[in-house]
Amino acid sequence: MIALHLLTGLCVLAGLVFFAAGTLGLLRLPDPLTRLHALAKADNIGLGLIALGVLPQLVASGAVLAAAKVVAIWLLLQLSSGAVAQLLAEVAFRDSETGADDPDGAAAEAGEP
Amino acid sequence: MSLAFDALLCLLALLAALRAVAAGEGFSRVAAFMAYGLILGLVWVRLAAVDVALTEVAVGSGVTGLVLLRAVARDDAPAPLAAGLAYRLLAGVVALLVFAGLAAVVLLLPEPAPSLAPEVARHLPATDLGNPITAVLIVFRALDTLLETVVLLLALIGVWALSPDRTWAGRPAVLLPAPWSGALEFLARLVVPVGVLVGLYMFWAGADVPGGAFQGGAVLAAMALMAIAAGLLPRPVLARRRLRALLLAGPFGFLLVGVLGWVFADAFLAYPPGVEKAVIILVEAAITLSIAVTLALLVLGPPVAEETE
Amino acid sequence: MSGGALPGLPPADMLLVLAVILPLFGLLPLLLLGSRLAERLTLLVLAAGLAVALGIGAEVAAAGQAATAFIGGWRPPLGVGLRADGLSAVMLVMTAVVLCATGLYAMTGPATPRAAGERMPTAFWMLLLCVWSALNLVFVAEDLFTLYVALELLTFAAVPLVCLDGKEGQIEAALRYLVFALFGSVLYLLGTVLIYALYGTLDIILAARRASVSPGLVVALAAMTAGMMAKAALFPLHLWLPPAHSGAPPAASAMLSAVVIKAPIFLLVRFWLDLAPESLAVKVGPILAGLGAAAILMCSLVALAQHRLKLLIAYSTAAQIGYLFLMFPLAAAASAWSALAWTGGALHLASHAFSKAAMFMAAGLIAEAVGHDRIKGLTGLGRALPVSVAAFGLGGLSLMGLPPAGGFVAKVMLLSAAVHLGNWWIALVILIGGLLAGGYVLRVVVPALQRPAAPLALRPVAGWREWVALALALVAVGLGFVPLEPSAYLAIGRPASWAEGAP
Repeated sequence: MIALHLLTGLCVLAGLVFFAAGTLGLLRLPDPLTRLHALAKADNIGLGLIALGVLPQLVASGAVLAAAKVVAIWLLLQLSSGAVAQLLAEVAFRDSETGADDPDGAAAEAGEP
Repeated sequence: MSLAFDALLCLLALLAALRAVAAGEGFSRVAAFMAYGLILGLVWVRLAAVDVALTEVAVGSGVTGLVLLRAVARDDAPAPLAAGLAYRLLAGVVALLVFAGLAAVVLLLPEPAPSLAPEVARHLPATDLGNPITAVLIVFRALDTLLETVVLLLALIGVWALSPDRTWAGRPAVLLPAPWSGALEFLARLVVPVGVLVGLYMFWAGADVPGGAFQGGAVLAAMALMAIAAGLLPRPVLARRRLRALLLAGPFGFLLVGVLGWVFADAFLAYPPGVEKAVIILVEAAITLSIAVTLALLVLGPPVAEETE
Repeated sequence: MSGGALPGLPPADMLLVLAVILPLFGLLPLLLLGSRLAERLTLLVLAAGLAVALGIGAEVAAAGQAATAFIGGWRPPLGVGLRADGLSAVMLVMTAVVLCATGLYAMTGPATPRAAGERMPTAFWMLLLCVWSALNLVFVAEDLFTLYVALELLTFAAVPLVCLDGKEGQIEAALRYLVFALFGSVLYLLGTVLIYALYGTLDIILAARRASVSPGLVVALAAMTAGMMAKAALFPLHLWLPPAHSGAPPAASAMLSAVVIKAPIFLLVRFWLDLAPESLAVKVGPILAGLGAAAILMCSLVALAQHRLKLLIAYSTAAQIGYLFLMFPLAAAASAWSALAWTGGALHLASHAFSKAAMFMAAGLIAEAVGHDRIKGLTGLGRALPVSVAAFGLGGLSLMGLPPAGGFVAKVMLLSAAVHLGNWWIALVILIGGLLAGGYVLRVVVPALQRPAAPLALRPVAGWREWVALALALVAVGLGFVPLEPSAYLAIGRPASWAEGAP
């Protein structure tokens, strides 16, 4: 039982670290494409780790259906965050190709210490 | 622990609300508004009002946010009104006064608050439903729900009325004026079937657990919009009889059941004894469909005179 | 089920429900057929609705008590009750008459093909039907949340009416109206929530029985009153009204100005004379009357300065609303004279509805014939459009409060109640308001009756539409022949009768 709690704690903690790293990347990285990269990758792994941590608890307490829902949520978010990151990247790429205004990225670069 | 979590939620909700009303560019304010809706949904969950939470997230944040996003994305969107500092201060002072008055009154309210909840629970068996919220909406206060579906239809008529009558046979404007994207189509192909299933489940489960016509309808509407945005479905032709019939099915199905109440039971909107649950589920199904179609059309906006093609 | 008091009529509870749902059935052909056939069917619905309203009026008169219905057979506090007392019945009939006349006025004539400029026939009919359903619900609902739904229905039906022609200024006016109306709805909902938290019921009669003066009730009623003031455009929250009511197409203006703004005022009557404890109502009445007096004086003066006919009529509406607020301190006082003030207020409400609808219709026809509505350019119009000018003048006669019009009797009742209750300032405001109304009405009518400097070039207008306007004006004048005494009909089902005969 102790081992189970330990596993859950470790996984959730690791997940939070990934979330924090992704958010830091979103705030600090210089251009839209790298920011998206940080966000999508880190969030997927972070959520995956949290789900992984919660799953054994649910299975152990007999809530198998709830466990299946957690897995489904993770899969759906995996899918949508990946696709949405791709969509945003398309827009960002088009804007940089056409040399369109990118005040956001420019401001971030200017603000670099 | 839970107190700290609640405090954090309240703080986040306030921050999101401030960001949404603060000065700035439209897009980020709408994004803050949508975030505010999601946080508010969590607040409702904490208050054990799951039905309200679902509706807030689906309609308050999702559908409304989409409408607002489309509004700020328009090229011809008018510049925001430049409100002077004095005006903002005045508005702030008025808001604070209202808040102070409300806070004082809420603290003075009788404890425990008088409630109709025991009364609802006592009469719940007579309705054959498990979810007391659904019982209130469809049985005890059926008139309100019936007229709310009419209000939704009326809102759509109001949106359509922005275009001249003769264009009502046409289609709404393009949802996303962007080039075709493989990622969007891929996402839509995978998510839409799952989402439709979720929407139908929410409606079906609503009889006994949180969920129901409004929440399920909102999810279905979102799926239809995603399919249209990804090019999987064509923009609807508004003059189609079938589409109009779908719009009318909910309010008028409900009205018909109400009128039949005079014949098969003894009052308007009374359900025939013995088959209450079957009739209620039929009514809810019709409402869900109508809400889904109406919400989707509300987001799509008024019909436009077709110049292209 | 309270059985029909009159043989041959459906039971009263059925009529109450029909008053709300019958107009909605008119939406079906409009959305599915969308043609002139649907327009004709709508007229049938209008006629049926008028019959229902008259039926309720007759039932209430015959039974001598309020008609009630319980939705789904569930009684309050769990269920929703509908209830029509004498005042409700009068409002139902008044609304039915005005809206039927509006329907006739707006009908596409057989000889007048739809002009290219006429944009919105189908939408107009749908909105008219929804306005009717919402108003009827406001007048008969006994439940605070059902009333909120009714207000929502009313808002979403009335706002698009303002911008039916789709011009830029109209859309701006409609948006401003929407903001005021939604603000009012939110405040109303806030008050409703507080009342439920205080008394555990949404039913007005049950809440009134439990109500006692407490900070919670005061805040709740204050919020609801502020909300209704915004919706009724009471000074100083009237700024949305003139652009909205003057910019709308004439048939829509008639509806908005004559009956739509009466809904929030009716609800204020419910709050302060039915729901609030008397001791509270007596204290608040003078505040409402003070705002009403300010509305009469300020908005009448502004109306005097207008250059356009429709704006003048719209400002006159904002002014005339004030008279209805003068009623509150008089009717809330515990005195024999308060019944007279009560009758006078209700009569003013009805006669204003008829005369204002007639005036907006006449103004619409005048603008259609002349091509503009600048008051300066209307000299000599009386010879060219005698019926329309007569409708405008007779409607104005009632506004001024000259005999024999309905407005005269109403003002005499309010005036004598004010004098006998010692409210001299109210009497003074009524007199000054009458003079100012005379000023702005005669500004239009006197030049119109003169000989024109140059012959006016007029486009033809359908004669029967002029007669509809005149008929409404004549109804307003005809109300002047009601007896000058407290009406027993208006006392049916009022709070004084609640002690016995529980709902």
